[in-house]
Amino acid sequence: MKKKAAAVLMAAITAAAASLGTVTALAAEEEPVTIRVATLAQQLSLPMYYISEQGWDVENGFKLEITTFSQGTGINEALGSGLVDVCTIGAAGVNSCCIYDAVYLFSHEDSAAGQQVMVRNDSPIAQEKGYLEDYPELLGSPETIKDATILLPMGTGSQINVDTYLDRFGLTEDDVTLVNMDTAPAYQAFVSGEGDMAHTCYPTADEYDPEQYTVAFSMNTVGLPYYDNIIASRSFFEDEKNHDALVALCVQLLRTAETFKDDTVLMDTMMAWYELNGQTVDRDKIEHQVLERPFFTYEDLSSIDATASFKIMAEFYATIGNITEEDLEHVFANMDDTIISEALSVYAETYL
Amino acid sequence: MRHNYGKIRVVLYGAGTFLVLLSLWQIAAMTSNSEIGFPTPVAVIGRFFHMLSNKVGSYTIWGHTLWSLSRVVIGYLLACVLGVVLGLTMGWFPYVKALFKPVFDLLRPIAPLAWIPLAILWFGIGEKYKYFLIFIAAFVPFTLNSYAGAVRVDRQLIGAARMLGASHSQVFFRIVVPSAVPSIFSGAQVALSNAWMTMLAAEMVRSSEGIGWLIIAGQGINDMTQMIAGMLAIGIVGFLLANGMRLLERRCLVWNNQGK
Amino acid sequence: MKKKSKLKFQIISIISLIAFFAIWQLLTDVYRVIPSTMLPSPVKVLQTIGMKWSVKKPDGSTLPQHILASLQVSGLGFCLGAVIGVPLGVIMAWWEKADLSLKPVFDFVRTIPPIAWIPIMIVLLGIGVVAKASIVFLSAFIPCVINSYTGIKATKTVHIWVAQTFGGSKTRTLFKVAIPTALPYIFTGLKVSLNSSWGALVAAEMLGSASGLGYMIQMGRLLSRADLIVVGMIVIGIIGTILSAFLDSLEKIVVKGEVR
Repeated sequence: MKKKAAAVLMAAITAAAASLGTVTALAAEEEPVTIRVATLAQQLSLPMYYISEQGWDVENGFKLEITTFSQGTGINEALGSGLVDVCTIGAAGVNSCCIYDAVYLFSHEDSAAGQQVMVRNDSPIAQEKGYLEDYPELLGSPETIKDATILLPMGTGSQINVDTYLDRFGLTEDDVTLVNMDTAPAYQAFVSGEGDMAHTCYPTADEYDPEQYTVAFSMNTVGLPYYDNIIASRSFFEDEKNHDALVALCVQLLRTAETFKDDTVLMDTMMAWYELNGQTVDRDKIEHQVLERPFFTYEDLSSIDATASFKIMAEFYATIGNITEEDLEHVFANMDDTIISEALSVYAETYL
Repeated sequence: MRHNYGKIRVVLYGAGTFLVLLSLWQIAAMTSNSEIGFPTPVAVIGRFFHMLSNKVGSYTIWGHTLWSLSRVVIGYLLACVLGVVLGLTMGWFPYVKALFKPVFDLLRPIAPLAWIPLAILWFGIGEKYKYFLIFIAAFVPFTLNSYAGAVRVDRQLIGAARMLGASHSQVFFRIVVPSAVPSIFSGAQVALSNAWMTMLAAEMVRSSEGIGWLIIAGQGINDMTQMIAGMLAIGIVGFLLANGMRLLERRCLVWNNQGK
Repeated sequence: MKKKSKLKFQIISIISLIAFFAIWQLLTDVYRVIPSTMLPSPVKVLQTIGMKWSVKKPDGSTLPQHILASLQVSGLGFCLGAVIGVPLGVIMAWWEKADLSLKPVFDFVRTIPPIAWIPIMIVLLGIGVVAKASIVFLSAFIPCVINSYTGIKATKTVHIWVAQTFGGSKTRTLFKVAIPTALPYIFTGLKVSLNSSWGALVAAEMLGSASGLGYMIQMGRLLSRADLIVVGMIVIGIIGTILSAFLDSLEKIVVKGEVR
């Protein structure tokens, strides 16, 4: 008697549990996966904003939750402490993959334009042009560059840019003095007479008076590919139920890049994004900056090696000792290509 | 009558110096040919009043000040409670002192600003790291002064209380704590200015509102006027805070002042 | 009996310190409760100190170079603070007109923390040693002024009368009577000032640096190297302690006899 009652009870519980299971499973199918995205108030995060503005996230089974940071370093820390799942990030992404074990998904934008170093027109560096045959546009020569003081934000792509430049002339960081400053204070210090060279990027780059200052080199002239990247946290990436959402996000990023080929749409979105972040900018002034930094479309990603920039940055960090050789292997291992290749084929099926 | 004359003299001399300095600044700014326009005091004061009613970023200057103050208050109160408790007990109970004083002395010399990078690694870059930094900045003077207050208690008072049969904890609450209050108050003063400074540093490192943000945002867009107007706001609020604290001290310690 | 209990407390203190480091080590290296990206173990910190002694990577300078750069900035700032601050305090306290005209300006300037000056310092003085020392100066001169001011004011009126009765001029009385009386106060001021100069170092090096301890911990954050950060903090703490111990002993030599 007792046994029978127990069996009935067990059956009831199992049935209840099973039905509960299906209910949650159903709910999971209907509820879009929330992706917490870390953005910067800059162009590289524009597609995230556009996707969420257009509602393309919910349409495709995920929901973007956007948090804006002021610096890539902050994004890294947020990724490390589990506050965000996916981020748009520049060179600092190498640190995410190395230290916080994050996963590189793909590079989505060419942002080399505007990443340049200024010199004064009367500086000896500015008098030397074409010293290197392979890089005719670089200003300077080993003698003039030696012992120069360069203002730049350390630990970012700017440092890679400067180091590559030095390397082209057979110099190293030890031959110059690197002073750690963000680009806006660096501009103020430089025009007040400090330093011999100053790194800059948009929008500060346009502040420099062309009558007095010249571009000594830029990422483009030193031949350094510089792309911005989409990176996911390890825990989010490894959770199977997020897989489809990640692919869907990448597909929508490709779709956005295609849409942004229309300059007007791109500019309108950019203005809205700046305004949302409390920055007042002059549309005519920034137009060339925005258009010079294109997003990678399906065709771009099928034709170029978009991972090159990230690899160069990682190798660079290893050579200057920011990360060890062992870490470098770790970074390479954390570069995933499954998500983006799946996204590319889904994109081709759906939109082409 | 004489008293009145004295007051007028104080105001006249003070205002006179300010006026001289401001005119020097005005002349210097007007004649400067620096590429980044250095603003005149007139422009700064104009901007300051403009910011009182117009938003910079998401708030007016009032909003930014409230943000900054709220951060200070949270870290400061936390430091007050923990610092006073730790300081007094270390000063009175030898076991507590033996246990905590060495570790406290080990960490104490590290300047609050030197904690910034570690605080960010631990707490992320939201609000929590700011509270933590302000806490550290205020905690040290609170603890030190409460400790000093408890140690310097008049031994005769304690002896008398003991004679009358007070227990160890009774002596602590009835004699040690009250007589440490003046010392705690001077610690509170130091803690407040430390907290105010550290809040500023924390906001300048990362924030999207607050007075520190005003300055850093001004720097980001090469707007010297906004930077200096922000400094003006800091000076005014800092001045009010310090004097408010002094007033509170005078109110609370009437009995102490009368003795002098 | 008394000796015995003193020994007991010393033992507790030592155990407490050992426990502090043991728990730190256990939480980090042994049980890995705290990841090394957030807090390096004591062993790792020691290794990093050993490594940084001669290796420039990854932040561009060796530890001794950082220490030297920081000492230079703080030292210069402190000297400026003492050389300007002490006479200013004395003058303000001794001549009423100076007091009336300078005190309000001083009271306002001291409410603006040095860190808030950084953005304009870039434009005014650039980013060299002098600019950084000026940031340190802004925090170093305040205690110098306050303490010498209080010290001179504390001179007993009777002593001044006596001096004047014997025909001492106002200036002579200042040097023969008031300043000697104020000496212990001035020394306390210098001590506080030295501490704040060292504390303002991190702020000064936010100005744009190529070396220095404050720069090192910032680089530690940019490179996500918690071990560099902790090493920097520890070295800042140790040097701060050494500096105040040095001034303590100097005080004992210079200010003979009664202190306050």
